[in-house]
Amino acid sequence: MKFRAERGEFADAASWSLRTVGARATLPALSGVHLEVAEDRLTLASTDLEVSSELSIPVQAERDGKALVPGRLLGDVVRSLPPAAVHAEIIDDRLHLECGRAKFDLRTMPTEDYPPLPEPDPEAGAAVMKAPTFSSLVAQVARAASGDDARPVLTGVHLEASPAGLIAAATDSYRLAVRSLSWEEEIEGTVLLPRRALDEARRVADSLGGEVRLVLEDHQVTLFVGDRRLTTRLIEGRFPDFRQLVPTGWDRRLNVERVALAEVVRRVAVVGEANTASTPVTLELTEDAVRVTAGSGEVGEADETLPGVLEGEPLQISFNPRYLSDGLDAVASDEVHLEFRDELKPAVVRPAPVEGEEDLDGDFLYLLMPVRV
Amino acid sequence: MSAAASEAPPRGIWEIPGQPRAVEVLQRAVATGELGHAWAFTGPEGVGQEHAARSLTAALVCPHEPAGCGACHPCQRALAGTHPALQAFAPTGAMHRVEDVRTRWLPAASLSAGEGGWKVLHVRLADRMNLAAANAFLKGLEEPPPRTVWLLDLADPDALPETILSRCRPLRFAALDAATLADLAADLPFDDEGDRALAVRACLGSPARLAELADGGLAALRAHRAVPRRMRAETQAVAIEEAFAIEQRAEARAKAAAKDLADQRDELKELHGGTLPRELTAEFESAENRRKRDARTAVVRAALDDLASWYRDVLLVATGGDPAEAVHADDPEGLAADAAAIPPAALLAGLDAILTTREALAANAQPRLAVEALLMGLAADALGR
Ligand SMILES: [Zn+2]
Repeated sequence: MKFRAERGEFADAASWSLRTVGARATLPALSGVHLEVAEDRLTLASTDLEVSSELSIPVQAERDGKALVPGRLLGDVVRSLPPAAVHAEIIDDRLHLECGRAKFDLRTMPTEDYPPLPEPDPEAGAAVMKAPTFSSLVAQVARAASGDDARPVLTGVHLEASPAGLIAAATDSYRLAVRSLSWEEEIEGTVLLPRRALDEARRVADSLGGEVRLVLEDHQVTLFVGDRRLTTRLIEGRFPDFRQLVPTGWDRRLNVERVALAEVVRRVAVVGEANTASTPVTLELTEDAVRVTAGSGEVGEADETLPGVLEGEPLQISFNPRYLSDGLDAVASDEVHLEFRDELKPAVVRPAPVEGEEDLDGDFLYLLMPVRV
Repeated sequence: MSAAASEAPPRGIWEIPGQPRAVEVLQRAVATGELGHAWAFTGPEGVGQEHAARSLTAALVCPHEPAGCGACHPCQRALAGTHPALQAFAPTGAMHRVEDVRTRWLPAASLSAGEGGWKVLHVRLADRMNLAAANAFLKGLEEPPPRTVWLLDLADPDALPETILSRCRPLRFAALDAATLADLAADLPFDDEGDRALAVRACLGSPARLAELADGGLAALRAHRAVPRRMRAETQAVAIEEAFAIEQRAEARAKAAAKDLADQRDELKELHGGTLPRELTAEFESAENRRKRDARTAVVRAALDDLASWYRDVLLVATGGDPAEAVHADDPEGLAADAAAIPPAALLAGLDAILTTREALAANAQPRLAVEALLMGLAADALGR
């Protein structure tokens, strides 16, 4: 293998590949980044056996070939190179890098233990989204996923794709986030994705822009962003029937400024959290105001009121403050609707529709369970 | 694929020394597609369970017909233990902990199968699950994901709740027989044929112990069995000396185990660019104490096994048995001398004391004191005091 690459491109590619190298004591080869030169392109690939990544950059190839190189070392070295063309060559079991006057010599690793990386079936159903749409969808939904590995099903993001559109949902059993969008694509399938792959794809989508292509198979999902590809294994098991959790209507609806409410909730929660982290905040809703309180007794109490318009009877209801502010943060609109039945039934946060403005939130809802006090 | 690999006839993936029955059952389960979700590999530690896990993985992930060709890249990695379809879980500390089950085992089971389309999840020393771990694991067994097989190594099935055992298909792994051990010993470096034959008899069916005897020589074994004689000829101080010597060997072995681990850690550290990833740091830290403890225990246990087999042989000779059938058949004079000097009741009491001390070892923080007390007791019995 022998090639000439542009330093910046090579460094970006190497550091991105590093994000999916694996750490397994029994399989040291996973710490490597797999390099392959063919047809004047260098393909870099890595896997931690859950998520695998691949990207290719243009190079001037003198000799095609493959090598497995310790990933962290490659990333560090390439980043430290001066801004000039990088000459790379494998001689025996070493990778020689030359850039200006700098010369490096890295060991390569034996490839016999390296697993072949999964590739998407070219026949599989696929759909394309704009990068910002994909990013906002992931940001809105993934926050409701559970961090508790003991129930793997709740750590994932559920995707239902059809020719008409996509529905994404996540729940940790205390709250539920659901976002849907419309498209016309040849795709059909329901999968449960580990959150990590989505977060990685979102990072790339945020930095590269453009489009995100989603390829669905029954055992894996692939996300293409520009010339980068992420393939992830899925979580098996039955995702809760989230539709039956969502109330079909409301008895009370609050229209309130989103950021103002979020700030009040955070301020007031500080006092409650001085007691214990899970001390709830209480919302007292009247015709034209929302009073937010928390805490009691020894440590102190907090109390703040802000304007809000209530349709329906007054209500007092309590929430875990983090779950409530998470829901408010998930929305981009200036105003939100909070829909209630009563103080025991789940509440729903939705963006308040604004006439004539671009809709950043799409069809989104965030449901959260109240806390009994 | 290298040229050499395709020229050499592939070794059958199911050639597991000394376990023809277990192999037959597993092969049939694969062939009929009735693999089930969980197997309990019962039997003594390290008599082919690891090999069976790898063979089974090869049979499942091989793309050829009939599956398990032994030559393709998936087969070779399965047999080397590096195929991703096979994941092994060793206890983090002394026991498997509930956090391990929650953060490693169950997520591994719930991830869809990757390369090869299967997941073989091998729990080593599965009888070291505490109750909380067992309860958490039970949830995973109750809702088994498709194409997922749990393999549990159980030297002591009674250590696990019935709720888990009843969900596993039992498969017996026998202690290796003399012929199998002799085959294995033929490839190991012994000083002479006498040592080789003695090691085959004295390893009590454990290939790991056989390999240790080949590695470390038989001097320690000969010292252990000579303890009663030496105590008669010298003084009870022999008990203290020998307990000390056993401890020294145990420490040396623990140190060697720690060094092996440190070497492996350093190699990984270098591959990861000089900083070991956090998850591996934690894994190595907890593994070090366990490996050292296991290495120490193995040495002390082997010493007690040597003594126990000697006492059994002396009893055999004392009751008119043929010394040629003894484990220590190479030392008929020694057996005869001890048989003449130690009354049968004292031999039985001694054997009982040895086995009791052996049982208590796992929980014992001070093996030297326990061994010293045992040897002092044996000395008292042996001298008829
Ligand atoms: Zn094969």
